[in-house]
Amino acid sequence: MKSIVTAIALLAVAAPALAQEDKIKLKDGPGREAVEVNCSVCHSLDYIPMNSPFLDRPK
Amino acid sequence: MANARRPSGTLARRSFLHKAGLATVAAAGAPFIGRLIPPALAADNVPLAHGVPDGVRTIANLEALPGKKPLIKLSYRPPNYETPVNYFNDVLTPNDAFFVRYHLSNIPEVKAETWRLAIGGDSVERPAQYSLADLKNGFEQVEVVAVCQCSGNRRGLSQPHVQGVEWGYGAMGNARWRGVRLKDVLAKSGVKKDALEVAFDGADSGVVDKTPDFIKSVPAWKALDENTIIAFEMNGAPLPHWNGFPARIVLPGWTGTYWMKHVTSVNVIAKPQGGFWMNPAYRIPKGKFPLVDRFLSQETDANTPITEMVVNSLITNTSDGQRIKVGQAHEVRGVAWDGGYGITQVEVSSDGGKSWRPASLGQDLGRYSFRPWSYRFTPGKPGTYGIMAKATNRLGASQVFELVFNPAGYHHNVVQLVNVVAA
Repeated sequence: MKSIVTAIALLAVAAPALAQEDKIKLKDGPGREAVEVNCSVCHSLDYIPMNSPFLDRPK
Repeated sequence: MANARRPSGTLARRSFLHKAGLATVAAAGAPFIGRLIPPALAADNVPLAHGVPDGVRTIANLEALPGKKPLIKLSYRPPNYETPVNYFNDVLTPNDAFFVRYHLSNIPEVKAETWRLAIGGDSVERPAQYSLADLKNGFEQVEVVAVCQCSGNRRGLSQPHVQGVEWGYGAMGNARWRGVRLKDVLAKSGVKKDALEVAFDGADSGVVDKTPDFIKSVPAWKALDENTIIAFEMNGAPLPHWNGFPARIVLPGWTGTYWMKHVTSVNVIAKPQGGFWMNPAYRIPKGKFPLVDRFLSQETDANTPITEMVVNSLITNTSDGQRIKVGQAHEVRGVAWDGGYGITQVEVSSDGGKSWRPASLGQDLGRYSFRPWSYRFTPGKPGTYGIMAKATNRLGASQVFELVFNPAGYHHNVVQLVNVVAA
């Protein structure tokens, strides 16, 4: 619960990002909702498309 | 990502954000809510560096934070915004175009009236606390022009790509910083002989309890250097909120990770500072870079903390694919900088590196500053001309032609190649 309260508190300051963040679309696929819910507590989702294409590349 | 806990068993992220945000608006009347946010420019109009990962093109926008001009948004939260290269045509980077870099998302709007700086740690005789007025009135005010560059500037150009904020060329800026010497403030508290490091903490914090607080330390000798200051002004104005208002550490010559924003405590300690942001974060392999400043108390067998910036340069007024006229002089301009030894030479090539000519060095604002440079050349016939620039510092160190790869993508100082077309 404390993390939720803290998350809400941070949104007070990061509020301008709120509307803009909604523009970030993750590709549909298994686990997408889990990623969205868990990762977005700490950071906006733009980190994921910024990094994932090359991290996903077959070795 | 830290060990984030799921905010709700069933609440979808967007629903959570909207509800949380609306609740906060109603309850707190938060400081930035309601300020006009200019619409973002489409990704096609964003001046991204060639070579950044493909994914950057899907998320980068030109957007303005409150009080800032539109910068290249790489992440909203924590905010990471890059300065477009054209701003570096001026030797001092404007405050409202200065890059923004945070590690943690909880960034309070600190009030100057209530802000306090605590001086403490086991290695001071007399802990103390200062208000902004105390600092301004109690110590000699000094100025230094210095480059603040993110350790990961140009990370996006690393090949192979490495994870992190995929910066292009603009995670840096040069400013005239005004404040008081950290050594003067520490002297008033009495630094003990066993002082090993000086640790900084700021007002920002993580969202969940387990997120490591962003605490950074430097060797005591660097903290006590006469150029290390607690800055409260930037280019003649109070620090912008997004650059550390009301006061930040300025550590000339060293990368930005140590330049603590919204600094709230300075602790002088006799043991190495621990924590995620000291190790494993911000490490470079030992022996790969020609650096002088070492952080011995934090070194391991494998790696060492990043310290001073490597010598580097940037072409600021000429872009890849630009068309110029045959028989007409074209002036290439740029800036060069290093870890504080001073730039002694910039050489420019207009034939892809086959031959080099010295550029003219511009205004010298001190050894920690950008050094502007310019070079005029006249294309004699139609075709593609490969423009390159290479800086050398007072130690004789220069830029590299091949990337010195490291897992975190630090110290990218590969000589640029900008192809222009004469017609």
